[in-house]
Amino acid sequence: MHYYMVIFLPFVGFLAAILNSFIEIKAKKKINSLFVASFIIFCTLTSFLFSLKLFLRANKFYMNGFDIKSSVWIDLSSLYSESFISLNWGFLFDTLSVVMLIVITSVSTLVQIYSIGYMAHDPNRAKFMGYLSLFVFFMLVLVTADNYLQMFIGWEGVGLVSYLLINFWFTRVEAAKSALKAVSVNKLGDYGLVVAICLFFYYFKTVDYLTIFQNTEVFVEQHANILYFNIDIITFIAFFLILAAVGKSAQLGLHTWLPDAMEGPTPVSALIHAATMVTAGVYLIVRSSPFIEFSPLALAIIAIIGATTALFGATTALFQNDLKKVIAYSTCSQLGYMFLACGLSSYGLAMFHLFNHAFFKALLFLCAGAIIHAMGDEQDMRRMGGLAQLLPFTYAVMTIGNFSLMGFPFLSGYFSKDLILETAATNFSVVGYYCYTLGLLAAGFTALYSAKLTYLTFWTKPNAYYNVIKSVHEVPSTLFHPLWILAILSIVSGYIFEKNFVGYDNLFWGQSIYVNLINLAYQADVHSLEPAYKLLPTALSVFSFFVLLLCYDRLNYFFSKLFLNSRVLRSIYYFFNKKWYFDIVYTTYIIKPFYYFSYFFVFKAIDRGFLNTVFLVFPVSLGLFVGKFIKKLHSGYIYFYIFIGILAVVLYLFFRSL
Amino acid sequence: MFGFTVEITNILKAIMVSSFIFFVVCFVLLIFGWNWIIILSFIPIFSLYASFCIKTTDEIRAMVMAIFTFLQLLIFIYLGTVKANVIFDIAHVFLFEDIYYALRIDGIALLFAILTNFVFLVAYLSSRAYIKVNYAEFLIQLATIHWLLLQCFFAFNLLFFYIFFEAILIPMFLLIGIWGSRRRKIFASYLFFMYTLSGSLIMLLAICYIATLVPSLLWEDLIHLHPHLTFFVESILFFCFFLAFAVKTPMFPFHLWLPEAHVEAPTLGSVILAGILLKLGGYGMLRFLIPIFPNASANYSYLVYAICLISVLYSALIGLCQLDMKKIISYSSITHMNFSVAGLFSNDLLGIQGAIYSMFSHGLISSGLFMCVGVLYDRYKTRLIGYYSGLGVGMPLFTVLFFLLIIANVGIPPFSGFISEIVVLFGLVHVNRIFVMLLFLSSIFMTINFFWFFNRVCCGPLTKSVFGLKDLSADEFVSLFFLVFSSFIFGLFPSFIFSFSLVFVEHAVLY
Repeated sequence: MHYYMVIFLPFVGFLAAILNSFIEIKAKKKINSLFVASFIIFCTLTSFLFSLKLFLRANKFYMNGFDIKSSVWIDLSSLYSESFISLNWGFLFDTLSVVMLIVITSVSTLVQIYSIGYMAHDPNRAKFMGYLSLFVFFMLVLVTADNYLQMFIGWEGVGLVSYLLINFWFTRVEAAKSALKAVSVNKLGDYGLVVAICLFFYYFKTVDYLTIFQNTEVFVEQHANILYFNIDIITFIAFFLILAAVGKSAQLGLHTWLPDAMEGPTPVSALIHAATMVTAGVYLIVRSSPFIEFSPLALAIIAIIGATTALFGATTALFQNDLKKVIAYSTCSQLGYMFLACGLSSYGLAMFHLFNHAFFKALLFLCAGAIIHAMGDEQDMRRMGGLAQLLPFTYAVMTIGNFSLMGFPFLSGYFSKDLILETAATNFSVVGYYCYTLGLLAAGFTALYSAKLTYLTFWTKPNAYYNVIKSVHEVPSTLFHPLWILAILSIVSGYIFEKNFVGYDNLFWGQSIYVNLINLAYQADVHSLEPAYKLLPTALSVFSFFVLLLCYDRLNYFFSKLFLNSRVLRSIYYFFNKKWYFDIVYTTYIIKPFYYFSYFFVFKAIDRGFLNTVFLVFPVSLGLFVGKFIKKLHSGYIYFYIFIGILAVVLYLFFRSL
Repeated sequence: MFGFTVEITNILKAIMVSSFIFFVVCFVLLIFGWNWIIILSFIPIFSLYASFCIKTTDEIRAMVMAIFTFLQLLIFIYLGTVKANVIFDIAHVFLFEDIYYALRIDGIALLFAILTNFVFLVAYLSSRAYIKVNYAEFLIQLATIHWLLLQCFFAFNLLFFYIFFEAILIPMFLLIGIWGSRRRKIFASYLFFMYTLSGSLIMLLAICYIATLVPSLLWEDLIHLHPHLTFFVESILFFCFFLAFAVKTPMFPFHLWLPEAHVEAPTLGSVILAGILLKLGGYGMLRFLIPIFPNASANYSYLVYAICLISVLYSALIGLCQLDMKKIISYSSITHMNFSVAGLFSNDLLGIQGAIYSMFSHGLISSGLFMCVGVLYDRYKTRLIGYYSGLGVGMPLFTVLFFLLIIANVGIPPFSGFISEIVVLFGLVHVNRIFVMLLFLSSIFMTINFFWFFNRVCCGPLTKSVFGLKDLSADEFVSLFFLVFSSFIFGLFPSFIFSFSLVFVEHAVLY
């Protein structure tokens, strides 16, 4: 029963919010939403407690050293059954799902508590909380589904609620535009997932995880003839899975929606665009590990995409000035690390980083929200400064989050990110070297932008207007509690769970993750790494941190001069500030030609032009033309009609006699 | 809460009197030897007669008709759930020589009849919100179309199918020509009439030729025709039939009438046109084209796929650059209908079942969307998107229902649009994998298109052109909610629909 409770309680919360809105519409007045909001939080919290119970159970099995069957299948009524196909509503609770459950329900509970305070002045607070609950529900459906089709329901559902939440203040044109962009770019990923599901159905005659994963070996080294190319079947399907994951997790190429999605309220950014929804792509890859493992090419693609995105996100974040956009690009970059780990077959490690990242990134976003709230909706970092004295608590927890992100020793980010880099360093293949180099660089840039963020926001002298600074206030209690809880989690979560999540001999993941030993042929033990290499990422981080402080604090004048006078440096600055020109290239070379094609060619030339002429104008003018001659027969003289009649009789007799 | 309570006594009185008249008529006809199926299919006409026998207002007459339609819907659902796949009684009425007026109710006929009644129930309920002039005449047209559609779906004789298929043009022509909104409506109604007529006259020639070969034009005799035909003759007959249905569906080169007719038609005209009339093409293919000419269908299926693929991508692309709301929705109708035609020709159980399901689901969703446009047109007298902005502020109920219909239309779960898309794709993937990939590209375009549509209409700041925001009236709310809710329910429990068509598809369509 509590399996159902975990999933459906957030939906109950959503229903409560709907009821509330309906009553409000009918009564034409606003009701105090605190009651509904607390009910919704109660639902999410209960869901969290139940998932904690599941998690502890999974943990206990691990402690006793059982080869666990912690997986539980629940079959609901049949969706569609025929003689040869059956699709069921089913739920699967294995370790992977349970870890995701913990992440989702804990972060969402905290974010909902936070948004009581954050959205206190918004008349639609109950609706907002309801949307968050609906999002949690769809996310839980996504991670507990036992087949790809049901996962797709959750997958589309979270995209939809993400649209609604980005668009929450829908009267702002920018919000509506960003929401549209998020939906459109995500739809490309969804397209990949649907095609992958269809191909699964074609080859495996089912969409169940279990059946697909157990029969994958049949298709190893099998080739399909696609447009006269011989393509490996597993790579072919995996390509579409990767497309889906890239779209959802905002990896390079389809990342453009994520920074724009920051138009939504900040709790949304914390919950959806940092901790949960964007990790769905990583979840998809990890979930499909028994399948993807058989395609080394697909793994290499994942690793390369991940490493490139890690560097891209980190470099772009350094040159942004919007507080939330910096954190958004940082999310992009950290998701790249997760992809990198997946590509090197270290799925447990990817999940570990996902787990830690959820906490410290949610913390960073929530702190950013507190700062923006305090500064009177100012998001530009250049107009902040000096907040260390004004907001001491926010300053403290945000610094914890930042240091955790940088991988400062013994904070949670250190355990996972360093391990990812070490894994890349001990992987003796081209892909491994590529990943290590780019990952290391990205780690350096991570420290740089973290330092820049901390410096500009907290340490430098105040750059805001006097009135703004005067009204800055420390967070209220509803914002206070989620922040310190998340701060503690981002300190300890790495240390506590490291033994569970990673390591070769751990049984924690049970059968939910599969690693093909062939892929580990080039992988040495991370313990064999030289200490110098192990220290390198940390040292680089600390070094870059101080370099940036030096640049901003002491060499500020020098660098301004340098950038102003050198064209090369300026164009480099623009390159990173304009996000590697991705948006501009997409708009100019893809979207505009596409619209021109559909308007000027398809619509104007074919629909209104060619077809209109052939099927509309031509028949009409032909009719008029013929009519002009036939009209002459209608002369009005009786002798003419008699002549026609006689002619007809004569012709009839003539043909009769033939 | 709803406006019904005010007139409830009047409506009850009207129902009592009219149902008395109704039952007298039915009883007399039963005594005179009419079959019960024929009486069932005549219910729209009888209820029209009964409601015009009593002395009351036209609004109450519409309510009475809606209630009779609802009862009929219940009967159909009862028949479907109790013994869905049984072929019910066949009503033969001997006319002259060897021509029978024959009706038969089986699974798919019931399914389409249920869809018809769904849409007409909504149309009767909301008609008083949309129609301001010549209301009584409008009801007569509506009931006539309803009756003709039921005849069409129950027809067991190809000749009578053809007759009713054509006869629907007449009331529809009047509907567009009289109740349309602009000067161009005359042109549009002619266009609609001539297009459909010229397609189906060719089918009439083919029917005449077939009539010389078979003992009768009953469906049972027709499906045994194909062994006696050479492939050449079968191909020619196939194309004659295909042309008629392709114009009605409509498929790529013959689709010009649809946006034109939709834009000029009154709201309820569009609802009926998109909701059911387009399904006649698909129904004709399912019932007659594929079972009668299986060899030609198998042989030319790739040609049909190609046409479908072109139509789907073509209309999805054109939809992207439309500014008229009705044109956007009508081009998306073309996309959906061609999706289902591709499924019909897949010769795969899933593909065909999904195609039937997608016709059903599209009937619910597109009629809802057209009704939404009608709501806006009624208030602000324009259909151009540019004049709208920020309706979410003052019309929350409308915005919610409109949004739900849009996500249903672009195929987001758990609405019925999703199931229809995915099941059709599951069927088609056995035919060709590349085809599936290309076909599904339309989904991306349509998503962008419709979310943009929603953004423009319901989001953004309020503009001056949408003054005096007035949310949905009770009639509009009930009818829209009914459509959204049924789409949701059928999306959650699709096996209800699949069970209707299973036997027919297994026995008649798969070759």
